[in-house]
Amino acid sequence: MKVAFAGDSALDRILVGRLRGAFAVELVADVHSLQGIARDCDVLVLGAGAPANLADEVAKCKSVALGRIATVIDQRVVDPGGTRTFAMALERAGVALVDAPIHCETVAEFPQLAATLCGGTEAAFTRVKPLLDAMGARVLHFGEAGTGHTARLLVGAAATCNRLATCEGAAAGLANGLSVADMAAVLNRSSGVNSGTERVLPHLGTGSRTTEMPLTEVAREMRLTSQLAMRAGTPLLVAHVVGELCRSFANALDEGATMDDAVLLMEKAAGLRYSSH
Amino acid sequence: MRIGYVGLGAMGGALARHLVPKHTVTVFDLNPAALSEFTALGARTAKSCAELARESEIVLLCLPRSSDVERVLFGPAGLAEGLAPGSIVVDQTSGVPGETRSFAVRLAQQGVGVVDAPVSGNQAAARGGTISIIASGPGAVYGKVEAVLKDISPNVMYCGERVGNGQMMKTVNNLLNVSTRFATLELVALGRKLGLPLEQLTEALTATAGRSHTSRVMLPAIAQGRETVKFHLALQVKDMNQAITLGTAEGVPMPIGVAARSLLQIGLSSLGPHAQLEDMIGVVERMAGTRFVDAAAKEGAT
Repeated sequence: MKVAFAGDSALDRILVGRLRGAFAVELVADVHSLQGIARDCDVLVLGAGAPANLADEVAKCKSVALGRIATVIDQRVVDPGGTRTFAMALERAGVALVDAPIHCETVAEFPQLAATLCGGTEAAFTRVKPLLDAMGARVLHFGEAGTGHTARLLVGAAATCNRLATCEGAAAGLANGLSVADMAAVLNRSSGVNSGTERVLPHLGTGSRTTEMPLTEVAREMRLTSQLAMRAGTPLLVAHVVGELCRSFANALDEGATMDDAVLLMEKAAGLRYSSH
Repeated sequence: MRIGYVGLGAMGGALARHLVPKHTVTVFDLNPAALSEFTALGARTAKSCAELARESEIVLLCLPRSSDVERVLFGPAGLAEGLAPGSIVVDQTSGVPGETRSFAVRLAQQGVGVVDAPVSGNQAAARGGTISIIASGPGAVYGKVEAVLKDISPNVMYCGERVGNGQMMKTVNNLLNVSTRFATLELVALGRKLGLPLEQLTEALTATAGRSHTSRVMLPAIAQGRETVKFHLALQVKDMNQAITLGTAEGVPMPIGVAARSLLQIGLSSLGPHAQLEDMIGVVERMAGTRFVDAAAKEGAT
């Protein structure tokens, strides 16, 4: 299987390195370079950092332009409604779509704390599973095209809720005389344990980085999740609140800020410093 | 050691029974059936809290609220009437830290020490002797009761000299447990409504930073048709009210906790005062218009 890979995020670069251990990989810079590469490749991977217009251009391609490519793997984090439209456009050109975004908050934790969340027909998924396995994260198949993107939004929202709920609880504890160290020790052995108590709480106030995801991206994903809930007719009370917090943090901070930087805003709002206890 | 235990309800009873084979235990409860059960196990019963205090070196309490603790301590025929200097009160109630500190100040005047030691976990863990005990209080006092607490469960965590820190830690634990539980359940309900399989969603959450006690323990139990938790919904609302009150009293904004508390309140108001926390699973399902487990799958699991 020969792979064409588009995307240059930190995670994309790791994935390309891993794929090269098992497959021939050609890098795609833009739609023009794709046309040449497509003649020899079986699979096109649209990585998390793929050029914004590339998927649109691929969707418009006729089968001739897509050369030998039989499957497109979409690892971007996008609205699942658009995924199904994308899948239908590709199907008209005889190409299958597998949406397979990865959730991982920091590349230092890849692949231990990561999962590849997949949608697409059973046949298409089975065909590219060896490639997805070679990327290293746990691979899970949810159903038809779009279900991988849906699962990715839900998992991302749960992670963000865990993080902000932990920061809020830690602020309440600090304000009432507990220390961050004691909270990290006790909560991680109790029923309040979550990824926030495990990964974020011990580092609150230390300046350590626990995520590379830009806050603007987190806010965008939370907005997509809220839209998904509105379309499906579910309330999603807690995640809506968390999403609005993310949006306010993103509005207040510079572009490129992450949730680690938002800790400063949470300290200011609560009138305390996580580091002073 | 001569131990007294007041409050033999679902949790207190499960905790106290570990002490009976190892100590001379005297118990008190308003429920005669609970007393009979402990008599059968070999415990003594007292006619009043004051009598129990006179027979005990260490008295443990597990009551619904701090107001109940105050009544048991300082009310008519209360513990304070019988506690000797040098004795110790261990409060296992999920109480209000500031109120427990005020009880400690009053008891110190008669030479009685206080440790707070609430628990985190369910009744099964309490019965199995694996529950987490979160204790705090002056080191010298704690040192005298640590072995007794470890007779209940080896999972004892000490979090400082200040009385009430254990209860505050328990409060933060409740806050995080409830906030992440409802965040996760609502998101999973959305996923289920969109046709995603529960087992895959659970695995995805647990493999990533989406993980929590809910994804690791509660969702697998739901999938298998097992009971996930045994606790009165009204008490969970009380615990969340306390968490919100303690946080906001110190000026900490708590929008996430408030949202989670509101969901619990919707459940309690619609289901009634006898509802169980477990019933909230159905509330989340009905609000989302979906089921966590398909009816056919549920029949197969049972």
